[in-house]
Amino acid sequence: MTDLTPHGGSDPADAPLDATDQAVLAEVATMLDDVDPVPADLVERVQFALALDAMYDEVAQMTRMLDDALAVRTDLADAVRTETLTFSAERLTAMVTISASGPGQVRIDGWVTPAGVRRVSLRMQGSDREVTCDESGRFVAAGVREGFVQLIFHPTDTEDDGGLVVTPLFKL
Amino acid sequence: MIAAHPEGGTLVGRATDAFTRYRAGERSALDELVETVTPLLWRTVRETGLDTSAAEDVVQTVWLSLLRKAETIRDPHSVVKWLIISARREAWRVSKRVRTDVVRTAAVFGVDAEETLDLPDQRESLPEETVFRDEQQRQLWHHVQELPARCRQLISVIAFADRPDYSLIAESLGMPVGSIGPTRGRCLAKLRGLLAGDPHWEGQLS
Repeated sequence: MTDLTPHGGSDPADAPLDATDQAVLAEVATMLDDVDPVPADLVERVQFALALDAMYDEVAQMTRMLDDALAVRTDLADAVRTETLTFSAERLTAMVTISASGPGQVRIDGWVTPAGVRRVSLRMQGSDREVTCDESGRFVAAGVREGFVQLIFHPTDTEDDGGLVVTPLFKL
Repeated sequence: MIAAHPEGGTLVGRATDAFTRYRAGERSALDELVETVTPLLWRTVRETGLDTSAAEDVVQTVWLSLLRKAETIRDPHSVVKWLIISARREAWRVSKRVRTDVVRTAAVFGVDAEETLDLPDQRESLPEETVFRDEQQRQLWHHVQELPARCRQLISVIAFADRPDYSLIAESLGMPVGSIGPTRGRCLAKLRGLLAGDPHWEGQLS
């Protein structure tokens, strides 16, 4: 291998890539793999999220937020783990709150606009489930096992051109 | 059947091959494609400054978008480029919106041990000393941080690719033609210069 010091005279940026460059890049890759590795199960989760049979028209954009009201609660023994996620797509917007409801179990409360009766599928590793939004656009899925879930929003009863909207897989 | 690695087995070649087979109806080729390109997308998204959980969401969203738009990509060879461009676009969009939320969430989770256990790996932007193998690696991390942001992004993503793919990936990252490969380019030359002036690196690679 060659000296690390760039050769004098001509611009080192114009020199051809050499073995030392390759060795430096390999060291950078090793360092990044140690410092900030790809999460162990990310590939598997992506593969699961992509394995849905349905044809969908939109992927909802997901935003995570923590409920402020709960965040400031001081009585930690009493605090219920609650997380709110919002999903936005051209066709609809949804707000979903996840709260612990028992050992290893959560309850999902959702609110979808535009309001209307529509099915919401919950794709989970091991089990699938379906709930229905009421006329105000609200849905509840109680007693859901902790884990990862992907939501599929179906069109409302009255929508003609309704395509499916899917979300990324997220943790309950 | 298509030969194992018609484009010489580089990352872009393998991805092109898997994408072609997926579009021809081979469902399992999609899993191969995901496995091949996800590490590159992870780096691309993390280099925009998103935290790990937001980065995971972005990577997933990009793949879900690909599945929906697979038919619109005319040349299968451009699938990696499409993925990188989509990942950067989505990451910038998300980082604008969630930056404040993420900070607030982390601060709250930080005081609750049980919650912290529930979270996926949360890393500080400055890694703890223990994650480095040795002093040389720690210095390398610091030198990479010293690079201008665009150079840091380029070097960090390129490091996970194969040499024949450098130009295409640099272009996908919005870097000017010739920023790396076949010549060293400005960014790598800068990093080499920083390492050359570092006693921990002097002579290490020679």
